[in-house]
Amino acid sequence: MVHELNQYQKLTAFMINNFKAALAAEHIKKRGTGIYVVAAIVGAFSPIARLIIKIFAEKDERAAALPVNYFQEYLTDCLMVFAPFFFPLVIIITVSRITQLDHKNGGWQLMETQPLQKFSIYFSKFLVVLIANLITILSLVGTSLVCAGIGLLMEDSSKLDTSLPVIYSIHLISRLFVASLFITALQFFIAVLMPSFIWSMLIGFFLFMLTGILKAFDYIPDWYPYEILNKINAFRDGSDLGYWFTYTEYISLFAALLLLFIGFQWFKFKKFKAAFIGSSNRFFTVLASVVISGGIILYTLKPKVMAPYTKTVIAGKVESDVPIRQILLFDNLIRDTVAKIVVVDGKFHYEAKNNIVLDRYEVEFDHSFKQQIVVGSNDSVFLNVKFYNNTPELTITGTRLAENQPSKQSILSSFSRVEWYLEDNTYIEKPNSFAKALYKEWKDRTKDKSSSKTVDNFVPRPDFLAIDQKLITIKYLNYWEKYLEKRNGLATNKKTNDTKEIVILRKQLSLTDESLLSQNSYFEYVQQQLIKKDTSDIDFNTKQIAAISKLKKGSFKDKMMFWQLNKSIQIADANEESKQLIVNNAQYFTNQKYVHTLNKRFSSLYSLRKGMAAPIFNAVTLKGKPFSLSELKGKLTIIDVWATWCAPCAYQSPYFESLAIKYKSKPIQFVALSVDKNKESWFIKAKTKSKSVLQLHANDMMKFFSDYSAETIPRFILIDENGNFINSKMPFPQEKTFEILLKKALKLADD
Amino acid sequence: MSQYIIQTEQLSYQYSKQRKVLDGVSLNIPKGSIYGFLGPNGAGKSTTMRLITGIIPEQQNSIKLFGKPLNKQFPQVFTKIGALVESPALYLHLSAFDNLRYIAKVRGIAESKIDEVLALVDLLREKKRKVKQYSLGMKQRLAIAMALLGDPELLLLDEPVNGLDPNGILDIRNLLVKINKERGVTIFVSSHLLAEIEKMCTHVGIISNGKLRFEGTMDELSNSAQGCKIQLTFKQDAEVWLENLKDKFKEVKQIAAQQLTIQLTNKDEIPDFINRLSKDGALLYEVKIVEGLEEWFMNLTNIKN
Repeated sequence: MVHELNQYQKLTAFMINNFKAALAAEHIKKRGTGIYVVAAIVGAFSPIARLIIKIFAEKDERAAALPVNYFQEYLTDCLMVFAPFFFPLVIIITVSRITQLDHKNGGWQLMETQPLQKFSIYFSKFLVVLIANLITILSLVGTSLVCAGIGLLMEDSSKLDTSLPVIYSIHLISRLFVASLFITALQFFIAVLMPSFIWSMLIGFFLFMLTGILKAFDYIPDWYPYEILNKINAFRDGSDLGYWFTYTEYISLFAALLLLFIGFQWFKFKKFKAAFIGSSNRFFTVLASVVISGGIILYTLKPKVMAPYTKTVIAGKVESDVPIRQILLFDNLIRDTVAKIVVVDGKFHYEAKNNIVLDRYEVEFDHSFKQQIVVGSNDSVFLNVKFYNNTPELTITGTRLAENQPSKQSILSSFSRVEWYLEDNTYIEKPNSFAKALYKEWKDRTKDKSSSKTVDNFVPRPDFLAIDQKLITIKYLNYWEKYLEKRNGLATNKKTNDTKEIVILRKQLSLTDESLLSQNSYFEYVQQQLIKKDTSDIDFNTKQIAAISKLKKGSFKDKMMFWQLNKSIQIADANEESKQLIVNNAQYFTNQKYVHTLNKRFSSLYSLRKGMAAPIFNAVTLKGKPFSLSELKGKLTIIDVWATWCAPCAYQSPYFESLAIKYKSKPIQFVALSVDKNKESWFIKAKTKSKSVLQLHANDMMKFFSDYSAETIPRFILIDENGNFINSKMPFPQEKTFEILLKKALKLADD
Repeated sequence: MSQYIIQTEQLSYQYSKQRKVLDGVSLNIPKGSIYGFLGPNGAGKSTTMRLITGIIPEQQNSIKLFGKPLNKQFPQVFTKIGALVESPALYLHLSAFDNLRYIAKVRGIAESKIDEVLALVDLLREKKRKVKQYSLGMKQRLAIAMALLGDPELLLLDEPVNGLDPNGILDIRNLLVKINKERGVTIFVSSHLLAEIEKMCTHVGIISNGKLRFEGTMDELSNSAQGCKIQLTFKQDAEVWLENLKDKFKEVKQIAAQQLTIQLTNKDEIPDFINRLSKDGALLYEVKIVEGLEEWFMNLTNIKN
């Protein structure tokens, strides 16, 4: 045994020395080619270009947002051109040049007549390429950090995190290196095999260009070598689940190993036949390697789904510059509170006792901001919340990881040819052709499940996908409905029947599916179907209500009726008629909470009508004096509701101010009411504004929001001398009608 | 056994089923020899060379180097071999010195040896120049220097004088003889022209159409060549001499008024023959070999299978 071990050690030592000699010799060989220098220059290119742009072209002030690490941001900015473009480019060039040194000069034969093992020859060259890759990456990171340091001199660094992102850099370097292995091995494989410089470059560039083409058709597989590098740019922070490498990076590694094995085998035995089927021994070794690594790659590629949890848990942590104490979960239909979660020391953990229907819910973080999340029973979701300078960031992990991805390209919103046919009236005379095109696209879309795949290869669970599929079906059925409407508009008199394709689609969709009732599109569809046979000449909403009232009692009917009435009162602008509508139809509800909610909505709309008293709010002035709306009684008042972080507000503000100056001598008070959480940032900004506008900061913005039903800002409110609304939702001052309404209130003639 | 550095036993090779490039070639290259491996282009010389260097893998185990099967000795056998296969493999973007440094690194040889071989091939003064700027002869010499760097016991040279001018050929020839004499290196050298190498070889192997036609020493070669036919041009009438010579020599023929052809046993007989003829009063304008070793070689290599 001891003897054998020595043999083995001897062999290993021999191989290592042989390899070392080959590697050192490769470095003599590549003298004067500048391969490493080119690698370093290409790596430095994007950070330097970024700096030049920053110095000469970037004039914009940095918007207040989430605190970012300045160096890390600079580095990831550079990834955008580096990962999909410069890096693959330099790999193709390096590999070609390294292999051409020997193709051009007969070097392969020279090396083979030296006491070098084939392994040493093949892999010492490959190692040189890997060293060049590493130099490129290190040059990118190093130059980025230096350029960022220079760029920092132009920034107000007090607001920035300027610590060196050491861990992030190491992480990024290792990810880029591993992700590049596949391309490198592939290119090396081709370039060793093909003596022609042109061909190996052409194939490399063709595969490289193909990325763009495949991307345009949205047909790019996860294992595509260039896509693996692209993904570094797409997922700059790497795994959602805290793994060091993502699954595509592992694929890169395994695919590279397989390619190197095949490439080396081919190189060693020269001919394909000799290398792979020359002897049964060799054949089975190759077969086993292909099967094993192929199996690993296929397994890694297989999308994964999260397993459900035994309980229903919503937990998470909050980091914020304003205190957040409570989180509310609302359903999207009637904004019923589904859960009320208390935050203690920036952390929360909530366990739901009741059943939660799988759906999108709105989470509201202490009136500060709202987001949509997907959650259902037996889910455990973890919300990581960051809220600084009024900018929220919410990342969701847990059993609904994939469902809660900020979907880069939702199937539902992606470009639809059918929609274009519909707009363009392409098939208006050919219902069969239209139905066929519609059916084909519907089928394609329902098959496509890749869009919400996470960086760790998780896809939504089947229950969620089922809902998604239904939504797609609804979308396409609604296209059909619109098409029918258009056909009806034509004076053909002929009735257009559902084709057999449409019948298939209709069969997919129940008309009483409660799980879809948070979706407008489903309501619209059901609505269409309910009144289809009603040809009486009455208005659409009335028809609707009549149809819904005939449905079977139950929560489906409740929700349909609620949705319809809610729409009706919004349209009717809260008049007596709509009040009557609620009273008349209250009998159809099984659950009276819907009636209650409708009444509440009606009264809040009603309270904002013309002539109703504007709710009093309290505020402070720039001088820090308390102020109440009641102080403006006796004066016509126009209020601009705004905040420092709100870009559309900033856009409207100059129009508002110029009107304030224009009507300075008239009996009207211009007010700018800030709803900033951060009073300090309001103070700094408001000080610079026109003195013709009274600058105020609301004391209790949540009360203001609910009193004035203010869901969005900017908001412009006109109040008369008696403190009653003239218009609680004015058009924007940018628009002509704004001034016309002012003049009317001031009883001035139009000019 | 061990006096043969290279031995092949019925070496055959085929690229495809139909065409045998080599057919049962058995070579025996003795230690210390300069072995000329001759044959026209396409005879199988390069294939043999590539098989011996392992550049193409052999299809049977019929090659022995240093008395051991070749395929068991890769790649260590190359510590004892310097090979120059086909066109000189040089890194044109490097200087001669760096090319040699590359080989030194691969073979684990001290860099101090480099100047020694450069001096041997007379390139010492040019060592810093890029090989790109070298003439073909210089490149060839550098390639030989690279093959010599490891102090090999065996030198394999494939067409080392191909494309060189007469001076270049002479340089290489002298160099090889010198290496063989001074260092005792066995040299296996291939060529398609007998004249190029016959002056330096001790042994010859002749191949044509994949088959070995002849193997032996230079003397054996001369003997095998069936005599030497010469053509004489006299000042006098040839008929007189025809009668005179007919009895002493075979196949004396008159081919013109003043011209005769005579068959000698080998070309070494020519000086004596002319001497005697002059003494007998012959006035000669010209003596020309019309069928010699070269002609025999040409005939030999033109045999189709």
